[in-house]
Amino acid sequence: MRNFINFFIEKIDKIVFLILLIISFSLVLNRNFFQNSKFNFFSNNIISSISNQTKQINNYLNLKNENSKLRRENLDLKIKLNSIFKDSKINYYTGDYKIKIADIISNSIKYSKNYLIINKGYNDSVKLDDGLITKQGIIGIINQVSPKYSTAISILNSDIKINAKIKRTNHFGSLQWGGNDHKIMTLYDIPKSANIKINDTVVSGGMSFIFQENIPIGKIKNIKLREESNYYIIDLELFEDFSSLRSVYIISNSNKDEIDGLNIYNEIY
Amino acid sequence: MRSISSLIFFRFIIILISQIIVFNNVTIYGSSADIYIIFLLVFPQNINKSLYYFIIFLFGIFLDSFSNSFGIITFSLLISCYLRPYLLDFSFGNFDMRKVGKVRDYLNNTTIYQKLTYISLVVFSHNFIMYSVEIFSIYKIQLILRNTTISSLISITLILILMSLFYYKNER
Repeated sequence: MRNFINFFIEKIDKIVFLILLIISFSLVLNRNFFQNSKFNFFSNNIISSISNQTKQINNYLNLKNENSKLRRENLDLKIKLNSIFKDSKINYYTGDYKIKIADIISNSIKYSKNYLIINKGYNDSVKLDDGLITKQGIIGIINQVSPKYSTAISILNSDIKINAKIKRTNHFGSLQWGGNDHKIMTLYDIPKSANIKINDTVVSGGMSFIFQENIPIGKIKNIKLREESNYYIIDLELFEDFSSLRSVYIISNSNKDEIDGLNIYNEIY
Repeated sequence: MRSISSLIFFRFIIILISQIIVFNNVTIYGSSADIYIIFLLVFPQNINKSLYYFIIFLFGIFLDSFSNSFGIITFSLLISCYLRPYLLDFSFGNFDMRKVGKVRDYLNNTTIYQKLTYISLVVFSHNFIMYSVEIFSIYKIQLILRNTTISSLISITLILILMSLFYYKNER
């Protein structure tokens, strides 16, 4: 016993090191199963509110007020547009979806699994699996909600796949980020028979309960076809610049509970 | 003369704040400049080892929670802080580590090549561990190496500039 205690005292620094290493590694592992984790360390209110404060240092006071006024006006216009086009073919925002505005308080593009934090939580009726969009594209999906803040998986995350289609020919595929460049994403599973060209627009596919159809995403930059394969691999350039995102729209499907009851959730969003 | 704990405390706060507010927002080729490694590079030698690990752990946790990285920085900082004595020994080999004690003496009284070796070894190993844990796939080794190289080059340049502003005495 005495030997054991002596050993413990001698090696205390290595033991502390190991314990700390295990804690930090468990944090890293938690990140990979973030969707299921109950451990809510990084999205808690204190840290989010501090980073909210630091974010505000960057914004000039007047500019911010001006900006939010403009966004509110924009939102009103979009709701009006929605009611005008409700019955016509151009269903940019169908009646099933509700729109809210939110500010991004923390965002990253340098990792291969990126997340972002916004300043609306379940007090503002944000729910799990709501979508984040801007006028120029899809941004991400909410995966954790606290009273005032929520975190979202960015589409610049190699774990996530988005259903997308080519606007001109209506061919479907799935969109994924390779991890190289924050302006480039890759579209898989477009068949060889599709007549696609460079600079075609890619929009969201609509085979999803999170994003509705025809939200613009990007334009085709490069088309590759492997010899043994029947499917194109397409690089597309995003319209949205993720390095300068400030504010987003949250869209939530008002029929989500009903769809969840059907239990046909799959991994392509 | 300032005590060693207040010195560590001030560095902790200043480096943390400047990384979070300024350098996390500077992105070059998709990777931001990691100047927080300065905290590890100039950390005092003659301090209790378990305290040393614990302070570095705390520093990493703060950084992680403000830069959306969920424990990656903590993990890799801990490993490079374990490696640091060996890297110090390797790059400043002709110094007696036990006698000198202060990292400041290493950085003042040695040649630029030794400093560069030390800084680049620590930064490169740190970034390599960070990106391998972050991407966590052997098939993407190319991406890991590319990210590591770009981010290390940017960080090393910035760290050299910053440390020459605050640390080195006149070498004229």
